[in-house]
Amino acid sequence: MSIRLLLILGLISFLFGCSTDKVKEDVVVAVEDLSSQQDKINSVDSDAQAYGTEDSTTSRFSQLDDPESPLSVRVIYFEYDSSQIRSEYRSAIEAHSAYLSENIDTTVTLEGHADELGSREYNLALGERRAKSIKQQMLLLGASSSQIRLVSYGEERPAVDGHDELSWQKNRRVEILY
Amino acid sequence: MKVISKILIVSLIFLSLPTHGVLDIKITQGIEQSLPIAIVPFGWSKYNADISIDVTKIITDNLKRSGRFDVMDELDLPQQPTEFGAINFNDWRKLGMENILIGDLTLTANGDYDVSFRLIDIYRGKQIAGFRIPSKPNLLRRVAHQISDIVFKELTGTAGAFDTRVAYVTVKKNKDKKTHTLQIADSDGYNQQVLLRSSEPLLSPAWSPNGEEIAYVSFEGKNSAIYVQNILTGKRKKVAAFEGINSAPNWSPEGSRLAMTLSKDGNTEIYIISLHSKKLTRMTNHNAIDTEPTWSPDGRKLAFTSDRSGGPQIYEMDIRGGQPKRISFEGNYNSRPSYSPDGNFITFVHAVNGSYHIGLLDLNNGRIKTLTDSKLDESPSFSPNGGMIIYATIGERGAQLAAVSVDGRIHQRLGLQQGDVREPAWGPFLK
Amino acid sequence: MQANFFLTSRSIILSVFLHVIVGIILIYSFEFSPKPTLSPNPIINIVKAKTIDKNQIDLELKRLRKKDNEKIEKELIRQKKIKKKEEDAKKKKLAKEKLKKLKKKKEQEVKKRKKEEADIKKRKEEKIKLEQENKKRIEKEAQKIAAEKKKEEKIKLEQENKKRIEEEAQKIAAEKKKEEKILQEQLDAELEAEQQERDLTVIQKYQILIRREVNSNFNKVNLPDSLECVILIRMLEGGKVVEASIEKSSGNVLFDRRATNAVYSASPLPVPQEIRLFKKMRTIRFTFDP
Repeated sequence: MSIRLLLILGLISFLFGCSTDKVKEDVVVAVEDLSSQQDKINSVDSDAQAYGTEDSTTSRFSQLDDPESPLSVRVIYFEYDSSQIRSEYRSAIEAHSAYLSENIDTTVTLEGHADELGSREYNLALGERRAKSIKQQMLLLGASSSQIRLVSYGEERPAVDGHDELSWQKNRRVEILY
Repeated sequence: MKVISKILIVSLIFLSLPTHGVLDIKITQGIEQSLPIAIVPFGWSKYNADISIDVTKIITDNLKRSGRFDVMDELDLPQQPTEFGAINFNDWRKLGMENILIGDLTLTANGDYDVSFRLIDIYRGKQIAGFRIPSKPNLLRRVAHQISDIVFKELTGTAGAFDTRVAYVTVKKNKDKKTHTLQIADSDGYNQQVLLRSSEPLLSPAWSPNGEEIAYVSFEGKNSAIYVQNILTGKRKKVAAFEGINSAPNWSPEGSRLAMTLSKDGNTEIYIISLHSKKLTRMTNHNAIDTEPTWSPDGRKLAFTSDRSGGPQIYEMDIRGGQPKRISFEGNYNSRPSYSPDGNFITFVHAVNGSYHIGLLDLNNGRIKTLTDSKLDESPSFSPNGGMIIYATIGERGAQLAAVSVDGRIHQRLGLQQGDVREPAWGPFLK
Repeated sequence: MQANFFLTSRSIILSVFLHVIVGIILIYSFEFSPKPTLSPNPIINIVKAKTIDKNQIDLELKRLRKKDNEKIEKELIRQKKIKKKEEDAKKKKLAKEKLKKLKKKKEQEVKKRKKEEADIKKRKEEKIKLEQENKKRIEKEAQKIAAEKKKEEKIKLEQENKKRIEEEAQKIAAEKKKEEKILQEQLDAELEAEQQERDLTVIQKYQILIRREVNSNFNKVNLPDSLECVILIRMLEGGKVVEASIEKSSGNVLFDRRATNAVYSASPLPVPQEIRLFKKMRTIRFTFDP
């Protein structure tokens, strides 16, 4: 068991060095959990259920922050003027949906965006529709409506400021924000 | 027989020749050309040498910018009269100059100005229009625009729109931060005033019919919300901040209602809100995107964008309700409709093969004309005299405002400032 | 007659001359008649008579005066007598002369009459002579006239013939002329027609040029459709428009103004240089119907 702990610690420090702020925050939380978990671990023999809970906490942490994990996919890109979810993002959405359904206190914001082509207001609606289509998928896959908040910025918050196809591709997106 | 035939020919010829030597000629063509005009620098009384606003230059720039006039170069003026009696009509006739504008500025005892001007018909040797306008010093710009409007009206037959203002959104990037402002300026880009400054996006400014208020969409609350702000006082109120999208405000012709897009009921739909009672009326009921509502000038119809047929197209519906009717059939992307002041046309974003142009739909025959060549155009709206369409475009200098005449012949670039300028809205005639 | 007159005047002159002489003699003799001289009055011795009675003096004066008067009277009577004598003598003389004159006159008259008779005779003879001569002459003339008349008639006949021939010739000539005239007129008409055609062609050409010119100066930008106005213009030689009036307004002030400006801008209009042709088109009615 202690080896496992060491491995986990190593993983934590590794992640700490090359992750985003958000993940950093998560790391802090995880550390806290770990300490609580440590307590729990110490008393693991006495509380089998607690372990289970600890187990889930641990697994949550790892799923979110695992770059290999589909949960790390936080941006879903779309085709021009489309809100259809590309097949390549299926697993990611599944993972997020599973995560949400497993963590009913967790809320997520789906931020819809669009490229600059066409009219702004229509793009606002398009961004929302994209976010909505993902929400619908998530609901189908086990998340509940109250966990998912939708916001659309249309073309107002581009990820890339260019005026070419590459930039536009990068702006047609939904961001999954926890 | 020969003789008779000759006589007949002769008589026929005599008949067809002009009687009493009057020759009849029919003029059925004509040209579409800029109107020549000479603007003589307005005279100054010796007391106002320090005035900083050049009324003559404002008028000259206005008329030039309209693309409708061929303004004579100041160096070519044969004379510079400031009153009717000093005009040498022969000098002007020799140059083929049909119309000249002369004027005079005098400072009155109380520090105000008297601006007088005369528009002259050279061939007839008479005055077409002449006025004396008293003005406070800080309103001289407006007087210059008013004079431009009068000259425009007299010589082109349509009302001028120089004494108007435009609203627009600017975005300035400072490292990673973007600052958004909502501004208004005179139709020639001067007199810029900031109405709102925000770190969050702003869009869709819409003038109230009386020109006193502007509605707009602001993301300052982390979500889109519609505000109505009084231009003079700066006071504003939040009109719609429902869940989901609150956007695309558009004023009713009588100014007491706003059409808007709300997605609070699950999907973007068109609603009408009464500004006094806050009563909300839902207009569309379709799971497609329905947005960008615009009121017809007679208040009877709404045009809007809907992709219920697959891609965005323009639809029209009766304000009392009923089934919306599709009115755009060319191209796979048509959105952001806006009626002309006379209700005969709709300008909109018309995409062809991935290029986004400004289009003009003739409601009488359904024909679509593409007015711009640039490929990233959006947000078109008519000037209050229906002659020009202002829109946003992205070009080499970034996002800028531009205008095009309804016949597509005259193109203007409005150089307002550095940074991105977008979302123009042409205000109504000023009172 | 003249002779009589001469005679008469001679006698008059003679009588006057005689009278004058007599008169002079008389006057002369009268002057030489003794003047009445007063006899010297008796001298009254005034020294003697002292007491002079006025009446006596008066009486004396009267007596003396009376004496004088008697003397004078006597003298006067004497003179009167002398005068009378003289007058009588004169009278007699005069009578004598008168008689003489009469005689003379008579003689003269007789002479005259004789002369006159002789004259008349002479004249009569002459007259007869003349008459005879005249008669002769008349006869001669009559002959002459007759001869001439004959001649004339001959000539007349000839002339009439000639005339007739001439007339016929003239008639023929006139007819010929008429024919020629008709032909000429026809020709003229043809030429005129051709000229008119040419003119028309020329004028049509200029019509096209002018229409083109005004079209390209008529700025119809922003003008409402389906408007029409008619502008009447007059030109000076060379095509300069000097008068443009609106014969029919379009109802739109701007439209009318643009149409008028079009015409003025196009001025000077292209016109033929030939004045004759120009006059046919110096007034133009433009109908603006874009």
